[in-house]
Amino acid sequence: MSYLCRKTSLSLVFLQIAMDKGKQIIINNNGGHASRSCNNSTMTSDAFNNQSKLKILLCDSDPESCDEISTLLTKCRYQVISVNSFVEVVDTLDAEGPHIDILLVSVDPHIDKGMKMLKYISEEFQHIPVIIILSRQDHVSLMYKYLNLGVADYLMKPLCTDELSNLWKHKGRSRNIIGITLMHS
Amino acid sequence: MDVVVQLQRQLTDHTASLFHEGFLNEQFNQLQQLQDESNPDFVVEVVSLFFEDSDRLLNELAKALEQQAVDYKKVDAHVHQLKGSSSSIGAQRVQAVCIPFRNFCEEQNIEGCLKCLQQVKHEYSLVKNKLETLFKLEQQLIAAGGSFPTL
Repeated sequence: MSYLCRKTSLSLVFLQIAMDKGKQIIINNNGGHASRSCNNSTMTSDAFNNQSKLKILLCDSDPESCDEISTLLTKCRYQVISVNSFVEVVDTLDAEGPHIDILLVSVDPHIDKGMKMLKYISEEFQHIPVIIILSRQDHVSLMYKYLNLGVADYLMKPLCTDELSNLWKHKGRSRNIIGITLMHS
Repeated sequence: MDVVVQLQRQLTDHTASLFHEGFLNEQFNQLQQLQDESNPDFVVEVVSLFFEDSDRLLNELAKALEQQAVDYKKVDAHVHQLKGSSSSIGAQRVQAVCIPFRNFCEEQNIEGCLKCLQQVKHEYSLVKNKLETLFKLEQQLIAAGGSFPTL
């Protein structure tokens, strides 16, 4: 399933988001900030331009959740390829590796198989930031396992467009920054 | 040259009054931050889209509130959108009416809703008029060879 983003004008997107949110969009001209709160929508023309060029590979074994997240990503003007298993992730990366900008994976830390696959993916496709989606607060403490694999960041379900609209910032960041910080703290 | 100066003054005065009388707030200035070479007409575009959408929403609201059995969820959804769009372009007086409007929706108070609809229509038509004048002045200024400073 591949969703190609439509070319839309900034003004249209701006107003659509404003009406969606039902509240004022805060305009921040210094590039915005990564934030997990959903109180504000920040928008910069930089962010908008970057967003529409980003191709995201989404993996979620729960088809309903996968659909939901895919819809949110498309709302953020990303190009989305969504799959339901790690095998499909690898297949897609083999086929389109260089064009994928970010890998977004829904995970359960208690499933070891997932860890192994993530490790493989991390090593084989080093240019792609991997961001995992956790569904439970108590899984956050297990983040260290993922950080050791080189995972860049995590998001908590339920996701909102605010966090997703900041995903483009991970592109081009070097790996293991967060991991190193944690290990030395 | 004189024409340009005159137009510039008119534009400045008109804009100042819009802010002074509370029709617009700082957010409207912020919109200009999103205007650049790749989006040269951003402000005009967004405001025009706002007019289109608000006209539609106000129509829908009137229709929804005329029904025998009013669907307050629907009414609330429309007001939600109007609140978001008006606040995001800085039309604060329109936004201000949306707040009690949503409360009345929650209370399923038909009279309150109808009253708010009247008020929001009134505020909307005022700000619409003023913004249309603003854009006309800007166009005239550009046509006369001047440029307008971003406030």
